[in-house]
Amino acid sequence: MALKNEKNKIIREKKSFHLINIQDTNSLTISPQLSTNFQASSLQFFLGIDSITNSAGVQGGCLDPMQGMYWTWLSGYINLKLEGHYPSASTSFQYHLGGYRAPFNTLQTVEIEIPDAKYLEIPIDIEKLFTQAEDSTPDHIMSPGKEAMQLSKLTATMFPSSVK
Amino acid sequence: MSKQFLLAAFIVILLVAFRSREKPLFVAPPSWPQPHYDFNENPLTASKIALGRVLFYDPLLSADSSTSCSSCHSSYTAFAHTDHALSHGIHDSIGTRNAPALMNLAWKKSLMWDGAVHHLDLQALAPIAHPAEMGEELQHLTLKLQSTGMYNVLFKNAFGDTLVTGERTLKAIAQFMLVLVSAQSKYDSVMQGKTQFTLQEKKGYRLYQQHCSGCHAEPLFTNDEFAYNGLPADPKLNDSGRMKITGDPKDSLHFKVPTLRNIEVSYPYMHDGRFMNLTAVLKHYSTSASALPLNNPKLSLPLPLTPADRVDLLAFLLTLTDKNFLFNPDFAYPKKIIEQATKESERLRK
Ligand code: HEC
Ligand code: HEC
Repeated sequence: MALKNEKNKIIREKKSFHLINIQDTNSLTISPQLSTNFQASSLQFFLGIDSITNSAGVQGGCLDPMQGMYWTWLSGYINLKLEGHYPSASTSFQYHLGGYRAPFNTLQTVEIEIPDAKYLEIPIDIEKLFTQAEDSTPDHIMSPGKEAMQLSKLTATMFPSSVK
Repeated sequence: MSKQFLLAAFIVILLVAFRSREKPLFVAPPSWPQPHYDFNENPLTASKIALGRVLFYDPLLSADSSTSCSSCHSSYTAFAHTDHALSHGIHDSIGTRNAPALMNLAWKKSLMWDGAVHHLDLQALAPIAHPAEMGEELQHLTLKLQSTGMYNVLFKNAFGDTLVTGERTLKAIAQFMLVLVSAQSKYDSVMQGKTQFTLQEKKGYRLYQQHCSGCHAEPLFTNDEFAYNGLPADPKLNDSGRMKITGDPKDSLHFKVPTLRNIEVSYPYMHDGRFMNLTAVLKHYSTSASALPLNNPKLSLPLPLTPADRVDLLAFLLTLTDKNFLFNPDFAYPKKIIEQATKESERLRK
């Protein structure tokens, strides 16, 4: 997670990994370890895990494989898990998006314009993912590859380009 | 004055003697390449290795407490699974591949027949979660371990407190696997000039150098790369090997080149365990044409090996058996560690 100011100066959080789990309200508030007297104009973060971290050995905290965000039969982190049912149809969907090896590196960058404030609320609009996805997108994507890559490209659009 | 000096000298000698008696935890044979594993990220300690060893032998790691790592990887067979071609897991389910022998893992850049796992620390996740192997979840496993008195003791010894995490569990298992070094076969003694090959073994060694060492390279007896060795695909299993990971048709039917160390005991052979003995393997290499084009300058099939050549080659392969490794008491079921930790946990409960 990083902050940028008007002069394009960037400060980055060290060892910056945050796991957001919709079912765990505690995880919905993030307090990044970043200097408070920095007049930030935008917030930047990666959606997912970079390839260097992906290639390393086992790690702890929110990177601990016991968090369920690591594939077991293949080495690599799952960047985003989204599972559910369509109310209209009886079909379910299950998306485990990830993969860090070229040409299917699914890591996305998000940049949000922000006011200079101590507390920010950032909405995530999941519907955007579904309205923009191609009709041919399968209901289940569980491994790295072309399909995971295509859907991952849309994940950054769930975030607003600016918040007030 | 001279008395004091004597005392100082005495203490120094004692210390030195004590130091040299302690066995190092991991020894890379001097003539081998540097290990690939980064020990700085997971420094070995005797108590972490002990914990990893107990975990390796504990069926608690499987969903129904029926299967341990050692169920498929037995120390006496170089940690391979020898009674079945395709390894068996919980509920008697049958996997799709043969369990490879485990040794010299610190030198491997990737694991599994297709290289699906890129780091030894993360290897254990695959069998623990595989529905046909142990069928357990890491999160649930940490809870089971946390509520077992013996593991409270072992985790405290290893990590300073009793907390069980996925990271700690996996690092401990990796430590035990790292110390499984096999480098004391007859071949190794010959290379060190301590003993000599028989005439037959020497002939076999030359044939090996001529035909096999391109892939099964010394001193690890594998180049750790993926290759196709001419076998036809099993239509039932339909296993495309390395291509599953890379998606590249060039990698179809390519598998990790397995080591030939301890090959005598790690039958059955190949990724699907299709050959029960080495005679059948050598027959493949010397009598079959390749099922698909080889496109590899290191191998052209069939190899020109006469029946007599094959006997010599076999004699050489048997010099790669390392009895010190196979019967190393430090790698066997950790009865003493388990007893001590259990006793300690009972003492603490009182
Ligand atoms: C049901 C049998 C079974 C169990 C239980 C099992 N394994 Fe395996 N193991 C296998 C098979 C089969 C493979 C090869 C899989 C593949 O290549 O896809 C394998 C591969 C491995 C490898 C890779 C070796 C190499 O050279 O690439 C390691 C390391 C390993 N297992 C360690 C473990 C550990 C640690 C455990 C316990 C947590 C364990 N295994 C439990 C069957 C098993
Ligand atoms: C082109 C590289 C290559 C060459 C050359 C080669 N092999 Fe192999 N070998 C392999 C590969 C790859 C496998 C695994 C194939 C599989 O499982 O489908 C293998 C498997 C084996 C196995 C089974 C090991 C196990 O643990 O299952 C033995 C034994 C073996 N080779 C012996 C030999 C001998 C002896 C020679 C020389 C006569 C030789 N190989 C030459 C690539 C090679």
